Amino acid sequence: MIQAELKGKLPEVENKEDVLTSNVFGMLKYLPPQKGIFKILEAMKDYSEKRSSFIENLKAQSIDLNDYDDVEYHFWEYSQEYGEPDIILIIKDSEGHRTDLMLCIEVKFQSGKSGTGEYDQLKLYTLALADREKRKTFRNTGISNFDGIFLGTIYLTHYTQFRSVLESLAQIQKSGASGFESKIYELRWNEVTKTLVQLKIESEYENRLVDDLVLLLKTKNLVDFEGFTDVSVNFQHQHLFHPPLKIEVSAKAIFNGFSELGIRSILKFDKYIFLRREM
Amino acid sequence: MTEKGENILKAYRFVQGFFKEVAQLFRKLDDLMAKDGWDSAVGNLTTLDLSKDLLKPERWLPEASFRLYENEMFPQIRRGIVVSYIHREKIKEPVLIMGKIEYKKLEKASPWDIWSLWFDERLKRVLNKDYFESEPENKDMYIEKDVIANVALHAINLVDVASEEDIKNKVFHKLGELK
Repeated sequence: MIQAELKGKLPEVENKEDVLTSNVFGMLKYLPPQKGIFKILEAMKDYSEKRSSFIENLKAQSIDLNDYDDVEYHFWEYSQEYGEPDIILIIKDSEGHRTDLMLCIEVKFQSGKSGTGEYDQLKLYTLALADREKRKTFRNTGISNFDGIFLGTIYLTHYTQFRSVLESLAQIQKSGASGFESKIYELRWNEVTKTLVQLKIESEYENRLVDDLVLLLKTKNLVDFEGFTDVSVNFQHQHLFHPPLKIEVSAKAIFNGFSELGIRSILKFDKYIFLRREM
Repeated sequence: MTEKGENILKAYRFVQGFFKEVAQLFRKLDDLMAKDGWDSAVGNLTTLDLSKDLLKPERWLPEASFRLYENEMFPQIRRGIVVSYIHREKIKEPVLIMGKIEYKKLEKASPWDIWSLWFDERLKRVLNKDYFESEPENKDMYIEKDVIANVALHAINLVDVASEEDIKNKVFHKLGELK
């Protein structure tokens, strides 16, 4: 699927968040957790007043992700009562010495949170997965029989959802639960991209996988702002930027072909684009 | 394939890429503002009044984009920015205009108010300078009288914002400083 999307073969699904979820996390699944998903989790912050990082919260619980080496990815597992979180991660130590950990990921791309008030999806998923009895409502036995520590819900979004998460926390509080400010985590797509770009991976094949993911995320503009691209660098044809200074201002009354970019008449505002360079 | 055609495509791609960069800037500012209690007053909207009209092709591309923020603690106030890409001969390069408007009649507010106040034909404004105008002294300045009580404006060249740090220091902090 990711190759088809990178080649623009699937314009009808390019803005679908389920496809993005599947492409990104479906690929991350094949990277060793220490090289992939754990690095991404390090970028998260909770919604407590202190805005603690995920790693700080783990330390407070004496949990070290370095002790874990396996992650099960459960995509769109259904609970009759609480709905269908996009991803549930179960983090394990393959030697079985450590308590299993669980994280829920709710992914958004161009849409906002589903459900309001008592049906707020972040509230429903978080409370369902934090409670052993409520977990039993999930059909997947890996989730319903989970007996470890629920670490929280990650809200992975494109745009800021600060107020939206505060509303979810208010709903959680209204239901009588407390302390969940440190169990809902903010993660942004641009942080995922940044982490993937910075990964240091020696395996050539794993690198190819990461390169494809980065390309996909950059294509969707899920990146940090790094300043504006210089138009004179962007174009290969440098002669375009050393044209005669006379500006063509008269609008053509009849169509006699498209203007040549090389003689600077394609853009009425071209003199402004070039002004800084000419100065 | 022709060089002429390729150049048109490159120009188009450049403009698309440029708008993506403006979106990154907006997104970062949205983040900073939200953490300060200011949320978008216009959802994901960034522009209005684009032409689909055969007779107005120059407006097929936006001439400006905006982000506008509201805060429930200050219901009559809007803070926001407008990126003006082109405006007849009035700007020499794209500018980023910051504004804080205190409304008298919020129901008559427009997302273009910051733009309209900056480009008021009767005033010659310059970049990197604070403007503060209050209704009693300059009542006739406003497009619709009695809509706006106070305005504070400041503008910089768009390309002077060159990093996320610049968004924080030159835009977000400046917006907060506008009294």
